[in-house]
Amino acid sequence: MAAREPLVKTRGLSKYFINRPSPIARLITGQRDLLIKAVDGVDLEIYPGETLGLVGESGCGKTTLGRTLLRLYEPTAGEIYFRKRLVNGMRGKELGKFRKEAQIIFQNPYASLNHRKTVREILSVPLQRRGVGEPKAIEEKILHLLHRVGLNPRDIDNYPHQFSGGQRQRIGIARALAMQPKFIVADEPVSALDVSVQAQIINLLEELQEDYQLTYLFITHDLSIVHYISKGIAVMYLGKIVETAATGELFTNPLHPYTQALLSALPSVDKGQCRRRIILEGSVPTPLDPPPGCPFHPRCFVAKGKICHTITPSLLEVEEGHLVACHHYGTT
Amino acid sequence: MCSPFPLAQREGCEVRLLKIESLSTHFPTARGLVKAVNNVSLSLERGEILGLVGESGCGKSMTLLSILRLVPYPGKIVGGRIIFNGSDILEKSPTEMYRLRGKEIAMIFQDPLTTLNPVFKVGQQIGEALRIHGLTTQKSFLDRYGPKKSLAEKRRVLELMEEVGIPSPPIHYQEYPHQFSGGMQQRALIAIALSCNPQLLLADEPTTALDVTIQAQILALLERINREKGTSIILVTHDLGVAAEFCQRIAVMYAGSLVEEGPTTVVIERPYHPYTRGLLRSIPRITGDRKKIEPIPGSVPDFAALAEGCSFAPRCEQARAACRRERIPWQQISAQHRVRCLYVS
Ligand SMILES: Nc1ncnc2c1ncn2[C@@H]1O[C@H](COP(=O)(O)OP(=O)(O)OP(=O)(O)O)[C@@H](O)[C@H]1O
Ligand SMILES: Nc1ncnc2c1ncn2[C@@H]1O[C@H](COP(=O)(O)OP(=O)(O)OP(=O)(O)O)[C@@H](O)[C@H]1O
Ligand code: SF4
Ligand SMILES: [Mg+2]
Ligand SMILES: [Mg+2]
Repeated sequence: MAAREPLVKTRGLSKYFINRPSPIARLITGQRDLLIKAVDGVDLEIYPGETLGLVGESGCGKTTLGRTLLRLYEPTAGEIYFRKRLVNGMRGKELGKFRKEAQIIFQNPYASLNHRKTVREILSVPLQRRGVGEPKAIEEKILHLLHRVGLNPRDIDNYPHQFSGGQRQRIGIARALAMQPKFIVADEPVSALDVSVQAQIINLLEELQEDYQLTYLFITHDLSIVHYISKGIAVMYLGKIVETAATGELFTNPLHPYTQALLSALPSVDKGQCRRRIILEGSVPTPLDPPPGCPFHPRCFVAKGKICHTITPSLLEVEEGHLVACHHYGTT
Repeated sequence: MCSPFPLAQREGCEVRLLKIESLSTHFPTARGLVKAVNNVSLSLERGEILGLVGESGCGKSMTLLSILRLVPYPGKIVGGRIIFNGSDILEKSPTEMYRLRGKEIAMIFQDPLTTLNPVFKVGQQIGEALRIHGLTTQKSFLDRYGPKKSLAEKRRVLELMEEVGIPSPPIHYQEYPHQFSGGMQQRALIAIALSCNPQLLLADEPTTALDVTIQAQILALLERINREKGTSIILVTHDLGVAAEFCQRIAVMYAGSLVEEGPTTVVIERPYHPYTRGLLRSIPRITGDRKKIEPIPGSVPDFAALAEGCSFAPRCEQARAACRRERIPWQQISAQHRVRCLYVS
C-alpha cells in the first residue's frame, strides 16, 4: 500500500475534566477535586474519504474525543493534526477555516436544533458564516441543501418540532453540509432513530461521502452499524483506544478481550453463527476512579498475573494495520 | 370456539397461560382518536418467551399495560378479552386486579429510574414488594426464612438480590437507586418483579437503555429465570437481533396492529409481511457479503390519521387499491405462521 497521508491525526490526545464538588459537599463529606480522564492518550489516524468507526460503551469518552478533535473542547494534552497542520495552536482566520472544514452532527437531533428557528433561519447561519450574503443566493443554497438531504423544499419555513426524528437529523446534516466541510464527526447520528429510518440516514451519509469526498469519524455503540459503514474501527474503553484495525479484520480476528466480548454480545438476526457468548461481569466503569494497570482488568476474563493489575498496556501494532493494547492479546 | 391459533389448539385450552382476543385500547386526543392498540390477538404458552417487536410508538407498551389494566388516562381499553389462566382480566374487580399485579403477572417497565423510588433504599423497595402481597406473613414463608418477620423478609430480599446477580447484597441492600448503575437498577427491578414468583413476566424494553455488555448480562439473567422457574415472558423490543436470539416466537406490530406472527426462525428467515421484510432489509448484517441496506420509505404514520385498510399501505411497495379499502384479514401461512397482508407471495 502506498503511504497515504491521514487527513486527521492525533498523538497522545487527552482531555481531562475536573469534577469540583460544591463547597458544602467539601465541608460535610470532605470530597476533593476529582480528575476525570475522559480521553487519555489517544493516537488516531483518519484517512481522506474514509470512515473510521469509534465504538465503546457509554461514558467511555467517545463524544469527548470527537469534540476535542474539533477543538470544541481544548485538549489537556497531545496534538491534533488536520492536513498535517497542528490544530492545537490555531487562532483567528486559520481556526475559522478549520472550523468550517470540520463539522459535527449530533446524537440528539431534537436537542441540537433551536426550537424557535425555522429551517431557513437555522441553515442561513452557517451559509452566512461561509460568506454567502445575498438573500437570494442563501435561499437558493438552502433549497439545494434541502433537496440534497431529502427534505421537501416546501418545508423551508417550518420549525423543528414539525418534523419527525429522521427529518430533524436531516436538518442537522444539512446544517453541517452548509459549511462545505471535509471532515465530519458524526456523534451517534442514528441512535435516536427508528430502525427503518436509521437506514435512510446511513445511506444518505454514505451518498454524501461519495459525492463530496467526505471523511467521517462515525461514533456509535452499535457494532453492526460501524461494520456496515466504516473502513476501519477503533474500540474505546475508559478513555483509551484498546484496539484498532480494518473492519473486516477486527470482526474476524478480534484480539483484545474487550473487543471479543463486545462482538460476542452483539445480538444479531443471523443465525448459524454458533458463536460462544462471552458475558462480561461487572458494570461499565467510570473514568472517575479508573483502575491501575490495564483499564479493562477488573472485567477481563483473560487477565493473568500481576502485569495486568499494575502495568497499563500500550497500543502496539501486532499485525499490519492491527493495533491492540493488551498484555495477553489473542490468547482466546 | 377454543382459539384462532393452531398452536394453542394443539395444546388444548387449559395449558395456555394467556390469550388476548381482539384487544383495543384507544386514546381520545385533540387531533383525533388514537388507536394505540387496535384489535390485537395474541397467545402465550406456559414457559414460552414471546418477542413483541415494532418501532417506537407502535403500541407495544400499551399492549403490555392493557394486560395489567394500567393504561394511563385518557387511554381506555374499549374492547376485547384478555384470558389469563382461564379467566378474563377485563372482568376482574379492583381487588382481584390488585392481587394479580405483581403476584401472578409482573412487569419490568421501560425506564428503570422512574420505577424505583429515589428516597428509599433498594433493599427496602424489594422488601416492600414482598409485603404488599402479604408474602411475609405466610406460614410457609416464615418456616423457610425464620420466625421473625423483619429478619425473614431481609433474608428473602438478600436471596433475591443474589439471584439476580447484584454483587455483595448486604452492601447494596443499604444503597439508594442513584448509587446503582443502569444495569444494576434493572437487576433490582427484576428482583422486585420476581419477588412473588410470577407466572408471567412482561418485560418492556428491559435492555434498551443499557450497554451491549450489560444487555448481554440482563438477557442471560432473564433466560435463566425462564429456564429454571418456567416463567413465561413477553419481551418488548425494537431490536430484531435481541428478539431473534432470545425469543421462541415473534409478533411484529405496526401502528397499533399486529402484522405478522410466527416462530422466530420463520419470521426472521422467511418473513411474509412487507413491513417485516422491510425491517430486516434495513438493518445491517454482520455476516456474509456486504448487502446494501434498504430503508423503508417514509416514516411511522400519524396515529390519529390512520387510513382505512392496511396502515402500512402508504409505505408499502406492493400496495394496491384493495389494501387501502378494507380491513386486512389474517392469512395463515403455515400452522404457526400468520400474516396480515392481502398479497402474500
Ligand atoms: N463537560 C464535562 N465535565 C465533566 N465531565 C464530563 C464532561 N463531559 C463528559 N464528562 C465525563 O467524561 C466521560 C466521558 O463522557 P463522554 O460523553 O465522552 O462519553 P461517551 O462515550 O460519549 O458516552 P455516551 O455513549 O453515553 O454518549 C464521562 O464519564 C462523563 O461523565
Ligand atoms: N397519553 C397519551 N395520549 C395520547 N396518545 C398516547 C398517549 N400515550 C400513548 N399514546 C399513543 O399510543 C401509541 C402507542 O404508544 P406506546 O407507548 O404503546 O408505544 P411503544 O410501541 O411502546 O413505543 P416505544 O418503543 O417508543 O416505547 C403512541 O403512538 C402514542 O401516540
Ligand atoms: S492487559 Fe490483561 S487485563 Fe488487560 S485486557 Fe489484556 S489480559 Fe485483560
Ligand atoms: Mg456520547
Ligand atoms: Mg414503549
